[in-house]
Amino acid sequence: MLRSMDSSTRSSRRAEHKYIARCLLLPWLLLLGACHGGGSIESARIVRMPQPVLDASLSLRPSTQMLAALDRGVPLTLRLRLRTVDAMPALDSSRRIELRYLPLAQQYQLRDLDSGQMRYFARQPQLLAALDRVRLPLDASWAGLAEGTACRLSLALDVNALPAPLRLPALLSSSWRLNPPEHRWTAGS
Amino acid sequence: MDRRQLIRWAFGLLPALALIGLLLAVLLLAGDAEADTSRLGRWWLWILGGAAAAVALVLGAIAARVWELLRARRARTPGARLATRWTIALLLLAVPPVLLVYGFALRFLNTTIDSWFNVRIERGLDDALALGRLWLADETARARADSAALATRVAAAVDLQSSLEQELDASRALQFAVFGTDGTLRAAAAADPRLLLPTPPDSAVLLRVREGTIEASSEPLGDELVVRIVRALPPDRILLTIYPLPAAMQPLARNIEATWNDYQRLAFLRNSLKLTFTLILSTVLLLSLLLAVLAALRVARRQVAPVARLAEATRDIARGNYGLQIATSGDDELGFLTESFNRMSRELDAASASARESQAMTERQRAYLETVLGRLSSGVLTWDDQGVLRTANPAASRILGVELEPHLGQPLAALTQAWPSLTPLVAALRARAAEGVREWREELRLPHAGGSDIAQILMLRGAQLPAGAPGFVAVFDDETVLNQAQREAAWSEVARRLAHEVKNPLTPIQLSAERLRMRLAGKLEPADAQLLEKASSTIVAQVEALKTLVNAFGDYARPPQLKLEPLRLNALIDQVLDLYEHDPRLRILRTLDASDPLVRADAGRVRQLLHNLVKNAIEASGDDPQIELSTTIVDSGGRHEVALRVSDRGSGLPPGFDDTWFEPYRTGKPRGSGLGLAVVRKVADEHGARVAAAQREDGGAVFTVWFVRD
Repeated sequence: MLRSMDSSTRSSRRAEHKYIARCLLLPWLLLLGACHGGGSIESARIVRMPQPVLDASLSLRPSTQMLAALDRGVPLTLRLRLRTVDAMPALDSSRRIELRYLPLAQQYQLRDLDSGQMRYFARQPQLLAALDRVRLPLDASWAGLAEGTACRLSLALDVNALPAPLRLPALLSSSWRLNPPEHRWTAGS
Repeated sequence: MDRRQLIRWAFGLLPALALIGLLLAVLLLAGDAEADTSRLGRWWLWILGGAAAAVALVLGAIAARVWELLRARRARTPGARLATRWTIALLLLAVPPVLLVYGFALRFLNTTIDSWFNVRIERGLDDALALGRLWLADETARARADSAALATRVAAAVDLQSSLEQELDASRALQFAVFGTDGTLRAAAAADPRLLLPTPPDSAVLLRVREGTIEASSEPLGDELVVRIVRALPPDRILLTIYPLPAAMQPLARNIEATWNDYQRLAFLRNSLKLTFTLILSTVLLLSLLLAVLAALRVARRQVAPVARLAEATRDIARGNYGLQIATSGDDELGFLTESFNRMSRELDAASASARESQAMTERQRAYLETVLGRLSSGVLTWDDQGVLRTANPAASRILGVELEPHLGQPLAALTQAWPSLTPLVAALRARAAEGVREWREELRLPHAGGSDIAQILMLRGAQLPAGAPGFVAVFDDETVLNQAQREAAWSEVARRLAHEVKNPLTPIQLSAERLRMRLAGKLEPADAQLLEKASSTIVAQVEALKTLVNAFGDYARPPQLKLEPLRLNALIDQVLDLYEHDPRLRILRTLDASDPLVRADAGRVRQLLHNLVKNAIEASGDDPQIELSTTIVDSGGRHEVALRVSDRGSGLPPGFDDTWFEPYRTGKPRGSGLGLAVVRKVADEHGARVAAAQREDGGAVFTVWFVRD
């Protein structure tokens, strides 16, 4: 018992020293971005069937910190923003996809927060692979999108949806950024 | 309140508003971090930006006030140094406790966060989760078995839909559905309305199932957990079954999952949480420090303001700006001090006004006294008990012939150094002062300041000044002219009477003596005739002498009837001296001014003056008369004069020669009439000229007459 307490105290001190070191190093590490996240939008189109649906292929490469957070119960929210370019009327829609881990069922949940549709995956790679093809319902205004209209789609991690303590590090650190290049295409092409 | 004051007031309020904003931001951020929610997610960046702006605003306000304070220090504004000391002292009081609390709070916070995590709790949660997973695996295995049995029973069913419905009714399942290998629905039965429309497995699942895999997973369905089994159903079909988990176990499973999730999330956020709380605490520290600095500056300024106003007012008082009133700053000691200062200022103002009035009165009295003294014909001198000359009126300077005003404030002794002729006067004044007599009166004789031998007679009266102004006053008059005029008037009366009483009988006496000599001549014996001749001749000669004397007195007594006109003095001298050229014994030396000066004079009277002086010189010279006449232009205190000098080489002036020798019947010569010099004086006086006599250094005497140059 004594040994256990002694060990616990030493462990606590060690943890404290580590914490101090982290506090000193964290800002620099955050700025340097030890492990960058990334991703890209491979393709995107708007399908009318008959309701308009965004059919996008996302290649997501979350950073190790993001994946660790996901496994430790922190849901990650992806924000997809779809806009027309130089079109009248201008259309602008946002869709959110949540990635969440269910520890009891040991399943990864992919949920369209706007429609409520959910899919489950046993492993992380399956979850990320499922983003190869996401179909997100759009509102009716997109049904009248004229052929040849230029569209653009951007993808970002929604920092504001993270737990409060993570927001400042996420704001400063590149490891909490996906920032894939904006994808542009012409409707009907 | 005007617009400028309003703007200033608003700017003064900005730092306070910024501090309040910063405080709210900190509270919101702290609350949000503690609650671990995303309720402020949308405003989070705005709050951070607002807090940064508030910090910048407060820092700006502090910088402005510090700059103002430093500028006031450089300008040596009253109260600036005291305000600086106050500020530093207040900061020294406020900052250390804040830093101490910050350090303790930081440590307490870290310790508290660390205490949230415990190995045994974590292990317990992991065990609970593992237990839940085992339970779920059992349920899944049971569901797999049920699904396998169902597949066996419905595989050969002709009416698949009916068969599924019958099986569903007989089982605990929530849904049975059969799809084609392409995902098309063949038949379905559901016990839960949420599952009336079966969702086909995705393509990956279909692929794996077609390859013989049985997909079993537990998934949420609303708030519940269900077990979903997907397996192949011969021939070429896919069977989807969903089984519920026991209702009693559902909340326990949810709790275990939620608690494990929360704990793991907290563990993951542990450092971020510490960092966030550290930042919040640091912001609070910054807020406290800014507040302390701002409050210190403000309190110092407010506390020092009355002192600064007092110091500034004191400077004004020192500049003579009395009566200044300061706004009182409350009922504390400073207020009492301010009120005392105001009272003192009012009293000073009243005293100053009284002093000004007194000074004005003194000035009026002084002007009055100066006017009176200036108009007095008598000279007035005052000096203090130290012998310093304090007052000298213009008459004093005029009578004494010196400029006394530059010597005011100097000792009386200094007058004698500047003008030795004043020595008798100064000695008399100092002597009377030393004697301490209250009043005195005496006559003084002063040598003339111009260097002549004509003594100046002063009638001096003096007195001690009252005790309030220790010193003395002396009043004097020039009696010289008065005495001379009196004597001249007396002599003129004598001469007039002599001429009138003596001259009239002289002619009958002379005529009688001549008639007697003529009648008796030839009738007397030679001896008697000789005696008669001698006696009558003596009578005639003496009568002639008496006539001459009486004529001289007549000339002296005759009222002047001058005919003044420009006269060339050199030419007149030449004319007079020409009359004496025939005397071979006489040697005359002329040194006449080359500018041939003009004087305004009666030629006849000046001629007589010249004759008298020349005769006087010749008579004084004895057997070898040698006289010199000279004219020179002199400047006597701004007055242009022509000095006529007649010198001889005789025995010089008689002992005790003074101004009285210019009075009638004063002569040192055995046969002198005693009127020569008196006439000279009289003629000189008639022309406003001065006359004086002096000894020559190489023997003889010199008589000088100073005529006013025309």
